[in-house]
Amino acid sequence: MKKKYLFVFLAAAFFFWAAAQTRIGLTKSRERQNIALSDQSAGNPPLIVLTTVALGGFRGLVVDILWIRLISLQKEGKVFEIAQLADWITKLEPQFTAIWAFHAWNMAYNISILYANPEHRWLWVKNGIQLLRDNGLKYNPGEPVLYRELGWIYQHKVGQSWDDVHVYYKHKLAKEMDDLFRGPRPDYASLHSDTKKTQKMRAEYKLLPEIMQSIEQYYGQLDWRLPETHALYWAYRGLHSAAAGKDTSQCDHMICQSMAAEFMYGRLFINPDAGIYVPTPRLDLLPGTIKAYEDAIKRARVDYLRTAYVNFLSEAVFVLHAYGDDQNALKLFDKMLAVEPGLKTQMSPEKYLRKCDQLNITELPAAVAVAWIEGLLYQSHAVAPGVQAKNASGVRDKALLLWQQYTADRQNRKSSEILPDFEMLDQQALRRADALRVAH
Amino acid sequence: MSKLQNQELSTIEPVIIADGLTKVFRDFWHRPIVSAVKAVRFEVHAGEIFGLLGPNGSGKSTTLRMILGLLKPTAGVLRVFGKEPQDVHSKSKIGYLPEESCLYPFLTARETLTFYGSLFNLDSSILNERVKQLLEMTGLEHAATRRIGEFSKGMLRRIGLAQALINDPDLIILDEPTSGLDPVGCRQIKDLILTLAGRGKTVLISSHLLADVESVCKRVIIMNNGNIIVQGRLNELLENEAIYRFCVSSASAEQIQAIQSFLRLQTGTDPRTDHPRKTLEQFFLETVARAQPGTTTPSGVAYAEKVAPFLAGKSPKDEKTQCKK
Amino acid sequence: MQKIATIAALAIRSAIRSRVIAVVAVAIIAVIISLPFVIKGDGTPESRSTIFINYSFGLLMFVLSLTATWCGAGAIALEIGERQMQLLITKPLRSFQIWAGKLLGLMTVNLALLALGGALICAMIHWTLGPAEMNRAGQQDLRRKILTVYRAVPPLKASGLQSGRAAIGPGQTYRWHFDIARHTAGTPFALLKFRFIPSPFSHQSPVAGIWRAATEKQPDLLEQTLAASPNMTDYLNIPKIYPAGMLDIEHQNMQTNPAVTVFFPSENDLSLLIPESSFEANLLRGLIIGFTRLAFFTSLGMIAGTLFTFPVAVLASLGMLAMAFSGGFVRQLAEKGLLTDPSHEQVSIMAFILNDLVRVSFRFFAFLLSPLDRFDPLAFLPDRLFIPWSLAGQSFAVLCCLYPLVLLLIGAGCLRRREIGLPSQ
Repeated sequence: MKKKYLFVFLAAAFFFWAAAQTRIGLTKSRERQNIALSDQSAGNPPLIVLTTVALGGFRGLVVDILWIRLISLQKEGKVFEIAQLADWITKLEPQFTAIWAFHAWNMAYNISILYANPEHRWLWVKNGIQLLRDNGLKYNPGEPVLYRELGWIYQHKVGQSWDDVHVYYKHKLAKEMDDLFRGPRPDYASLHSDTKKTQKMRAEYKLLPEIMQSIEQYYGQLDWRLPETHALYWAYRGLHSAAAGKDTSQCDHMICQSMAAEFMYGRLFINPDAGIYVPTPRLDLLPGTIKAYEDAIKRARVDYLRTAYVNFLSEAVFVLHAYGDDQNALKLFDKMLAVEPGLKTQMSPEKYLRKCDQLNITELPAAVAVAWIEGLLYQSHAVAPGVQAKNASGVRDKALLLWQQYTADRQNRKSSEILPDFEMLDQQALRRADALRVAH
Repeated sequence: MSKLQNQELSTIEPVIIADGLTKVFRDFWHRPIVSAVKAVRFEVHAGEIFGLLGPNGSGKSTTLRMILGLLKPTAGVLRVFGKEPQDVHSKSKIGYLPEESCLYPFLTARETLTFYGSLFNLDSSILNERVKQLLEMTGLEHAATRRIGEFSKGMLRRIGLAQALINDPDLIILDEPTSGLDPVGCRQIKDLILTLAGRGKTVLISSHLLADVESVCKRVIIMNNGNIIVQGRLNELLENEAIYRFCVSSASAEQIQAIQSFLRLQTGTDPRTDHPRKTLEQFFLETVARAQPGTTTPSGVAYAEKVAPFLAGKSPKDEKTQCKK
Repeated sequence: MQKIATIAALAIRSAIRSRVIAVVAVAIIAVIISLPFVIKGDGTPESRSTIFINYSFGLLMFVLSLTATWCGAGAIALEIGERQMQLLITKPLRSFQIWAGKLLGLMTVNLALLALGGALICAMIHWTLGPAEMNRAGQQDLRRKILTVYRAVPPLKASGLQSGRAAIGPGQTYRWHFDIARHTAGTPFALLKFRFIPSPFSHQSPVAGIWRAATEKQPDLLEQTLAASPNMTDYLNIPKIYPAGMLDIEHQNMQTNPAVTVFFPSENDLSLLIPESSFEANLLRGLIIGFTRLAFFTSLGMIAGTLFTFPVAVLASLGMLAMAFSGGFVRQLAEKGLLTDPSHEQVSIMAFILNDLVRVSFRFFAFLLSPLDRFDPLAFLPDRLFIPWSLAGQSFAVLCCLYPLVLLLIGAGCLRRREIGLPSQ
């Protein structure tokens, strides 16, 4: 009898030991994959602690059930519940960044597109944004991946033209920001006294004035109605809030891409009521963009950012040339060669600029085409010193021809890449020339 | 010992008949583990106080449970009031006091009695009267509205006994009836048993406390290892025919010496002379009765002296009514 | 009957005094009252209200199903374990009286808790329909939307086709016929609920089409051009319909560039929704069906409690409950077994046998649980679909009478056969 008890005791001891070993392994694995509640859980709200700690291992089961329901509802086209399910799933696994990223992306991309109505689509894009901005980052403030995902929705879903109703999104965002700031950017000096506005910026949009200001001080004044500015803001925050050891390279990429976009089409003329949205280049943001690339290259562990930088510089050379600023274009070309010496043997600066004039506009992206056309129109209006005066009407005719070529090509291809009205571009060019005149 | 010995009892209708009664317990795979009762044979007759004795594991509880229909015999015949133990009509004539409390802890004492009484389809006025009398008899009037879960062991035995008697049963099966009771309670129960037997009720007692059994039982069986090893009238079983006892009161020392000399001369043995002793129980009861007549204990138990009138057959109201069958 | 009533009263008293009712009632109140504060929906008040109906009713049923199963198992198994049944069995009771009494008592408890939950849902839904951010007209419109319940009329079956099924190529037209003769007074408005799948499947942009509706008296009832999203349940408003025998709905696929064919693959993908009843009346019918489901779960728990000891009984009945709540999974196992595609998998003969065993046993469970799929208020309430009285009646007959009666016979038989006085008990 005693032998039997000894055996049972030994067996129990062995199984306890084995279970402990498995547990240690599991815990380590969970920590590696960042799906366990770490010490950060101490600061989490009671709901999260309740769902994650009290439910224990069962929360995985609950998440599975909710996720299965989400998939089946989505399959049936019943999507009104998805945001709710996503909210609960993410709260049950609050430190599983891939889950936050997936659900935000699912709502902003997959669900929004199910709706024909742009208003509904925008609602779902916002649901995706809110999931990350209001909750995802609250529970994972040191995760650069989530900042990048949030920035991506602004930069790609709202900023680019893949969605049929991207212009609607742009107008909505611009309108919201315009309502908030009463202009393209906040008046930082008055923010100290306007606590209501500051409160709304912080609480609703999570836009922290001190960070916005430091971004603008570093990169240049920005238009906060642009989705790219928001992408830049979140990437910047991701870069500076990342926990030790986290890879921030994607935030760096996003800062570079956003600044490049700000340079290419960061000058906005907008009238949401009339449906007018005319983005043109912000030449003054060139130094900021160069800083963004050079900072990123310094921090980068990989080399492909250098290629992206060279591509940007070549586009920037083209844009400066388009606005008649060949002097700076040549300087920039030299900079490009300094970054990528291999290019030296292939082309001289003058030859490069000449080649720019011979490009087929239909092969260019819309933003570059706009820059080219507006640049020519600007040249036709500009009389300021430093800008090489040309035959104004000849230049204007060329601009119109290019606009017509591009528009006809895109119409033939049934592309959604549509240039702003020629007249609009002309007015923008005139405004730009006037501004220069005033400055001088 | 398996044959019935008392021929005079065979003329009375037996309340319980067990013949070749066997119970084998089996495991999950239906393999026999233990033979708890081995082909026993006995009868219990109406009006008898019948004792079921034996050491632990002798099979007496198993036998009781078979009589109550809680276990099914593996073999043999078992009849209660001439029917299968599971028969509902037979059950309506049985009162059972289990060894341990099987009552609902969330019910009060009064609710407990009312609940079990309702299962006998008793008329509500009769039921209420009986509940009152039983609470009075068991001394639980003051604890009538307290929940069973709060009761002490002694109180549980009392309320258990009360529920067993709510239907004024013809067959009362008492499993360790005095366990957990103080000597006053024990005496009350024994008095009650004798009263009930006096009214022609049959009482079957299973107990370890041999003194209790001895003081009330007329006939006993003693079981060991599943078999009946002794069966018979208690008086006959306990009588020592080789020894005689003379009792004399108010004799002088000279007279006693004269009697002793006479007996020595006649029998050739040395007679023993002493003073008879009271039993400790008797002494205790007298002492307590002198010290606290009619008081209530801190637990709420009052020492009642009367048997419930309906059990004693005294209540005119009860005499007129009967359980609805 | 008096004995059954006595046992039932005991079961109710037990539920009250053991604080089961209080705990569950507090849980129900807490859940239903707090739900509107945690629900966000997709940002529209309509979705919030719809989700509230879905979740509150679903949670109420889940909590009560769990309680019913647990109490059912405890009512028998706990009493056997704690020996109260030993004493009860010695009383002049037949086992079916014990069983029926317990069942009746627990059903009364279910009824009380369900009524509490129903009243709370009703009160809270009215409260959620007055969001502060909405003006009065908006609130009224929301109220009308949420509190109207529709009868779903499927299209008549075309020969050789399942009703509603259609594939409409670019430029083609398809017509469905709906029998609306029973709505003799006509309807003030109706909705056409539809969902289609595009071909090519990758097409995600809205598909252009013309929807037309006509009756004999109203040949031009509706003609509307609509760009509808693929894969998405959508609704088309149909104006007032005068009494008519038949309503024709026609869809012309105008999506020619790029060419997209639209499929309506099943009968659930197209139906005519006619206003039929108020939300409250529908909720009442839903609660009746809910009550019948609870009766089923209670008797299921009691069967488990009769056959097994308490912990085992609870586990067994919770297992059944889990299966009841994951009907799709059970059906899938019943149809396919564990192997997703046996013909293409390298599996041993043992795996095949095991697979067949699983399939057969789950087919039995699927059969057993099939009424639960059929009588499920959650298939109606969130979609604001009318629950007919006949369905509530059928549910009562099947889940509240037939199933418990069969289970009662089995349970009472088992209880009678079971040896309550074993030394281990």
